Amino acid sequence: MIFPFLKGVLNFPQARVTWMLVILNTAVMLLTYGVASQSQAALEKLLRDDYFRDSQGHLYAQFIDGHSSGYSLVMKNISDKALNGDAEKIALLGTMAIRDDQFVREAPFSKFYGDQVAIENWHDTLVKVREIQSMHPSYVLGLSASDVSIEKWVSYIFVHSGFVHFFGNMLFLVIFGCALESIIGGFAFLMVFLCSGVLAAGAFILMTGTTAAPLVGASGAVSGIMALFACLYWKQGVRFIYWLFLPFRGYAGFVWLPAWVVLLMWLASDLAGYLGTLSEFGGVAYAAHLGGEATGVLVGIIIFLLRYKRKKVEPRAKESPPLGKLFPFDTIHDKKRISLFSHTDSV
Amino acid sequence: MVIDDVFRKKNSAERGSGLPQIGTVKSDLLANPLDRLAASIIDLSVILLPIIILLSSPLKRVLMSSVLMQNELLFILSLGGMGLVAVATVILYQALFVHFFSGTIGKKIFYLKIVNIWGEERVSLSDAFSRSIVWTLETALLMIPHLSVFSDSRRRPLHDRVANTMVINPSRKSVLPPNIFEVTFAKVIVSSVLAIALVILIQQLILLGQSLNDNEYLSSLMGEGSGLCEEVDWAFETWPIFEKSGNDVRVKVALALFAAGEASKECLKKEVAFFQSNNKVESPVAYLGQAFVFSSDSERSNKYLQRICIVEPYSPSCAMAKIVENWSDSSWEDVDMGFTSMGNQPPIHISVWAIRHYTKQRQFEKAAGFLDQLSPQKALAGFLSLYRVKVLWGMHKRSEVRVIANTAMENLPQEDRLQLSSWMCRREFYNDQCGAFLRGSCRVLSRDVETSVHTLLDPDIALMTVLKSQCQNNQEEIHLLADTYMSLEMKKFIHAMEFKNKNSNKSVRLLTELIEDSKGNPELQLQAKVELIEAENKDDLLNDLKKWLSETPSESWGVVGAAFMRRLNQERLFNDTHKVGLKMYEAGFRDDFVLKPMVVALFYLGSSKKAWGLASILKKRNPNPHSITGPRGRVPASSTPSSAYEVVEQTLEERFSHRSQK
Repeated sequence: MIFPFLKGVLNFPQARVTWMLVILNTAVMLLTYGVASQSQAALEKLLRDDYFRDSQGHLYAQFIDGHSSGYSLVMKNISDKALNGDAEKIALLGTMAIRDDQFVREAPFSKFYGDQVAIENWHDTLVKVREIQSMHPSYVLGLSASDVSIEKWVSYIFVHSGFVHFFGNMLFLVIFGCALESIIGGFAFLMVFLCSGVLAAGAFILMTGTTAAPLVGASGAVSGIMALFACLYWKQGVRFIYWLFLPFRGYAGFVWLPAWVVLLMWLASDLAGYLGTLSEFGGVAYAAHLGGEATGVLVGIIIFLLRYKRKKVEPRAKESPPLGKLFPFDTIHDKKRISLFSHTDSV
Repeated sequence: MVIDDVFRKKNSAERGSGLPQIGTVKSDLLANPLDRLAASIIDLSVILLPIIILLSSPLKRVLMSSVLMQNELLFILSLGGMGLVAVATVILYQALFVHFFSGTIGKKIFYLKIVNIWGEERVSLSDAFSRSIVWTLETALLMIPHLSVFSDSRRRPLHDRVANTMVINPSRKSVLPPNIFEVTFAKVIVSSVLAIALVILIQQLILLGQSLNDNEYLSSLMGEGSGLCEEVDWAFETWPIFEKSGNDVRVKVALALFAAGEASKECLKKEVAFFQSNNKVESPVAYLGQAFVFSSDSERSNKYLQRICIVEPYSPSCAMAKIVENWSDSSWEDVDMGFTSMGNQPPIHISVWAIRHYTKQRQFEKAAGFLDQLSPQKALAGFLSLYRVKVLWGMHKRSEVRVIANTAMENLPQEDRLQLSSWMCRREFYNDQCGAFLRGSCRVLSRDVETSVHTLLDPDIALMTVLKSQCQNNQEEIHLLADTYMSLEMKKFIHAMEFKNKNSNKSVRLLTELIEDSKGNPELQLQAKVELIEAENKDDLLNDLKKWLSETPSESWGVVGAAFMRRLNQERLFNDTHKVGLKMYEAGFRDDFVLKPMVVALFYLGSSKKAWGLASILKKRNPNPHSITGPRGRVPASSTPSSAYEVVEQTLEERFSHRSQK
């Protein structure tokens, strides 16, 4: 019922670096799509085979039992149940095992008890899985425990796990990137983008640890862009569209919230995601988002400290609502709007 | 705290004297209820929700862990904690903002203000907390109590009355006190919601009571099981002690039950998986179980079979693994050698496979040998009874098999009894046609069908019932039963039988459709083939005979062959009957349904002596008089022979008995 509603995006000449980054991401997405979807399909076929999954689950349970000091209470509990024959837990461990870098590295050389035919089959299938992973763009370009070389810290930003992931990141990159680039310039924008991405990866490794599953996506870098934007516009109003589910005049329209409120909301959301998720299960890399946001905030503070005076910000400060007071709501029919980009009405 | 509407009752005021002053509280600036609702939406969804999500996120992690660890206590604690965090956040937010700022953020956005009705500058902290606690409770009840904003004269729901507060709109976008329509609206809504809630509550209580009863009943049925395969739990209690050694006993039991058809593949899979999770040692028996579990994947199955002999080269399981491999290659001699090498008292599961194999191969003496080695097992009672009957039938010990079958059918549970009686009745029918329905097995089957009509859902039982009705000319009853219980293909068969005498072309067409249906019931298709042989014309008959002669012998092949023999005799093509009879005899078919037509053919071909020899064998097998019903008619009143065999037999008897007397 409430969503940011920034007015349009800048065209190419005014936000070259942003659009170059979008084009580069799109090019990588299109070039790798074919290989990625084929590899992913082949991987899923192997990993979803019940026989392989259950065998892997058994082995992973034995592995956790033998290396219990390195695993959380939850994992040890699941492995105990699996070792007692709980089919559900065996299947669960079977799906999780492939994310555990230590298991994937050491298990092929370890001795396990039980069904030796299934173990042999697991070995053979794991070799096939590794072969496919070596061709999968996410593993080739993404950052994982098996390869933390310096180029991976940058290349991971440009590869995405699917169209939804890609589209979501590009949407926010365009919206906030165009706005930010017009303030700080193309080169600075590029540096902020890349540094945010690198430090987001660092935060992810620090807070979650490396896994066999690769870290991919531009969300860490984009989070940095968004955070820096929010810092630079901290007093400015960010326009939101809202609707209060009441079919009467006056209960829908636009509202301006100070950017620092928006930044707090993002931080809170990512922090909640990080604190509320079990890292063993993967999914959204909230730690990378937090790392990117922290980078953006840090750069923002540095800019303020260096008394960054490019007053693309200043003219807007006079037109925006004063700090600490929320504006009355506009209805959809209200013509008097305070635009965030009033010097370029075409935005 | 004053809950009553002080603006109505003069004597209920606690503070000050008299009624609150209208000018002080600005009661003519009542806040619009929609503004209040919009403010609540903003407070809850925009302000509070993100904060609650953030504060409760560590507890959410604990909740997820508790679900994975299946720790109920931790689950309840973490869920309770999350609830507590949510409630505490809402109450604190409401209370502190009301006390310090005279309104929450949502209310500020809509220019609303919460004021004390006694004109005090600020709502006291205690009042603010009281207000927020009651507000939270009202919101938790789906905001229904908030509807009193439409009925109270100053639009003061309970939380306002509790805290001596009122919500006003100083910007003059206020509303009047509620009119009669608003009051009625609020009362109608509240009454409706209460009524619906009451109905739902009563319904849930009834369902809860029912489910509790069901659970108790279920629990009493289930008893204490191991949580694995129930069939194995039950069989394990009566399993022979000599087979109960080793950790893999349950797997052996599961294998035996699976071989006997008393347990499913899923049951075997569960037992094998459980064994392998709990034992560090490799077990050839478990690998044998896996080989059967993965029987549809030959590559995987073969890997398990090969592993067995690596683990224990001279074990019975290794021998069984080789037998299974030879089965796949149809190397019957090697299979035979494999079973023979087992010696005396092989493991029960291997004996069961041997019995099944030899019965299928029609080597009934060998099957009998393995049957004799098996001690009576309660868990395998159905299997042992059925196969004992099959073996004895195959050995042509008719009297013995009927006695054993009748005894077994008295003691078996209904499911096993139905399986045995339907098999036996069918075989009696192959031999004796309509005469079979006077036999014990068919009478037992009919009785079970009468008491439990739903058994007709089994196509094999339905078929015997249909054949019986044909013999007894009872079409009406069978039509009634067919409509409710029988499949479409069975109804087609019934129609084909009706048209057999009236319109043989239609009958032939229907029977052909049944035979060509790839998903059809095998027994029904077999009977359809038999009926088709009786119904089709001579040219088609001879064409079909040529095809049949080139087929591989099997039990159904033998039944079809017997039908050919009867039809060929009817057409007086005795040479062809003789040819078919010899072929069946070489294939190991020496049943009555082969020998009887052979006797007739030999007689009419002039080989009376041979015919008499065969007839004598038949007489020894069946010392009781023949059935006196005709092939498709009612039981005749007299005892004169009506079938061709009976006529020939009587003639031969007169001729050769007379000669022997001389």
